[in-house]
Amino acid sequence: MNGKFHRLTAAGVAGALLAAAAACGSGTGANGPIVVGSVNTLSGAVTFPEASRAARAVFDRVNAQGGVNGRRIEYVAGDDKGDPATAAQTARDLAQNRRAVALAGGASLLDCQVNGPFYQQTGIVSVQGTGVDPGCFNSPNISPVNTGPFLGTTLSLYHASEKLGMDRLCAFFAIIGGTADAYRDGAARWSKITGKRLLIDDRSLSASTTDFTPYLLRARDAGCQGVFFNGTEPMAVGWVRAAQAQKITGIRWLFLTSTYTDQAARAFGPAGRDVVALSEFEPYSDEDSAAAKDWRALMTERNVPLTSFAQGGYLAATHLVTVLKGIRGDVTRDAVTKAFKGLRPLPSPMTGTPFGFGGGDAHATNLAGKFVRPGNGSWTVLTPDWVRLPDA
Amino acid sequence: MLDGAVAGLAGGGAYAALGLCLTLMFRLVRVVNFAQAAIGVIGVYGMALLADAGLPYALAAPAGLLAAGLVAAALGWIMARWFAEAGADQRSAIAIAFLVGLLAVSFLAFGTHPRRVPGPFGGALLTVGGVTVTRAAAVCALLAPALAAGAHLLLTRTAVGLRLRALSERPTTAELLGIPSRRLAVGTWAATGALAAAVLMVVAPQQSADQSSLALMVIPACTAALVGGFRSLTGTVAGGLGLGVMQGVLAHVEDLQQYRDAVPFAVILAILVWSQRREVWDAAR
Repeated sequence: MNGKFHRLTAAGVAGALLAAAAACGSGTGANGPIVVGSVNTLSGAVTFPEASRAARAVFDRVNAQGGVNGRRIEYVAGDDKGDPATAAQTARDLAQNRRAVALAGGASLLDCQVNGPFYQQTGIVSVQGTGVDPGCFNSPNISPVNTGPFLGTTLSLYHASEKLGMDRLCAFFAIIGGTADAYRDGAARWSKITGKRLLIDDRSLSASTTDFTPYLLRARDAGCQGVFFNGTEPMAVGWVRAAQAQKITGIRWLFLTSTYTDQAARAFGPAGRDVVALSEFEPYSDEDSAAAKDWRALMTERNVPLTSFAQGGYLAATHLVTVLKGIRGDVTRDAVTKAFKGLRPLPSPMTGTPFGFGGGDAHATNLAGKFVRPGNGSWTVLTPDWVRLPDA
Repeated sequence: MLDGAVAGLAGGGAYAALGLCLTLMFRLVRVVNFAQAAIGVIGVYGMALLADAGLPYALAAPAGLLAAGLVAAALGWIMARWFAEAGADQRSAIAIAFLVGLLAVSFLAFGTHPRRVPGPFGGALLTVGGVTVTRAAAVCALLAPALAAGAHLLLTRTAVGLRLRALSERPTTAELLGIPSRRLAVGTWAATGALAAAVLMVVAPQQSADQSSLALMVIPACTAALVGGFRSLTGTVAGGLGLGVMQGVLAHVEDLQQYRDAVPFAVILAILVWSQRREVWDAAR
């Protein structure tokens, strides 16, 4: 009797589980929501919250307008806490438990490097809102919408040598994690395009370098006209402060997009006049820009801070929606991946080169930028036209 | 290369001054206080916040020092209340927990973006061989020896100093003789906390001043204290200034650039081995 009862209970539980599984299955079936995920660094010392918030704003608007062929987009933004183990777990949760059809609009310190092989294995594609680590630019299943720090190096040097006419360029790199080779390649690509060489190429700074005075003096003594420095926003601010203390003028400081923030513009103060920073998208601070009009309106409406990260998230989500709308038949992970692998370049007024994916082994399609300079607590655009890297 | 040496003095002075705080903390309250610089960060950012809000520097700076002193006192009270009997190793491990906790609190309270840190020592003092010696650099380089001298006088010539020394040499005996150990320990924490904030307030306006890099200045400061064996004040000052100068010089030596971070530690190791040369294995261990 007792045994029979147990068997009945077991059968009941199994039945309930099956029903639940079926319910889950239908969640990603022909009529349920389309699940899209992203892995982000949302907590910890360095956080990138705006990209996924901007992506969510795009998906919310699409849902409000009737979704993709009648299906809602359900967006799940996971937090990797800047920790590799959590990043791996978050990606597996999105791909296996949530059954996401694709990832889009993420910005993480280490998602690409940790999860690139897993995305390839699972056949899921990721359109990074802001690709930070080198893994974002050498995976067949990841294509970031931004230029990234490594091509950003090439682009900044190219702008300085070819557009500003500087012959004596120097570069200092703070190496965080395994980025040394990627920065070396970035500088080498510039040499290949222009046939020029760096006067100083120092890749020995680190996150623990706090006083930049000795490096600045070395650059001044070598006669550098422009000095590229890849440091993050607070490091760049420290760099300019040290230069100001040493009364070094007449050298242009060339910084990456990470420095292009309102806080940095305020922190530079008057010493910012020698700074030239890269904007990987249509400069967010240009309020009159027609190219960024829709982005600005949507972000303002949804209370998302106006930053470069928010532009990346918006673009990634917009490109994904375009691809989803073009899929005939059921929107499954396979269908989405197939659509991206056969994607024709998608132009956007917010980038200088069209977004691409395709069947290649690595993707880095944003090869253009505009350059900006801080002043009076904000930024002015130095190059109204896009500066595009020639092929090399 | 002389450029680099002179430029490195500013950083060296800061390492030495923070190193002195560490040495005093270790000698008097038996802890390698890894949170020393993080306590200072609370003071610097508190000051920057108030200055941003329009408070004049003359009021914001003392308020920042007070904030750092209070935070340090609170941590010192926790240590004295619950870990009075713990050994230096356990107390130092707890200091690491304080460091992590303080950084988290600081990020929550002040955000993660860089702040403009005002400072009165911005201008140039003089120019030596093409290097502008800023007033901040001079203050730092002079502050460290002055602090060491002050601490030495305090410990050897005053009644408080005598009690502090008694407490550090024979804690139980001192307590039995009626020396208020907890009050003195909390006072030591508060004073070194405010001191760390003062040092960071001098250097922060001219360097990378985000919270983590300032808080991690405790690492070179530890190196400086290590040169003094966490006992000698003179050794700590020499260690700090030497480390700063060495970093400045190494920035100019292209061949060594791959090993720049490692060289100071190789030197420290050599100093330690040299200073322990007369010890036999068991005693040294």
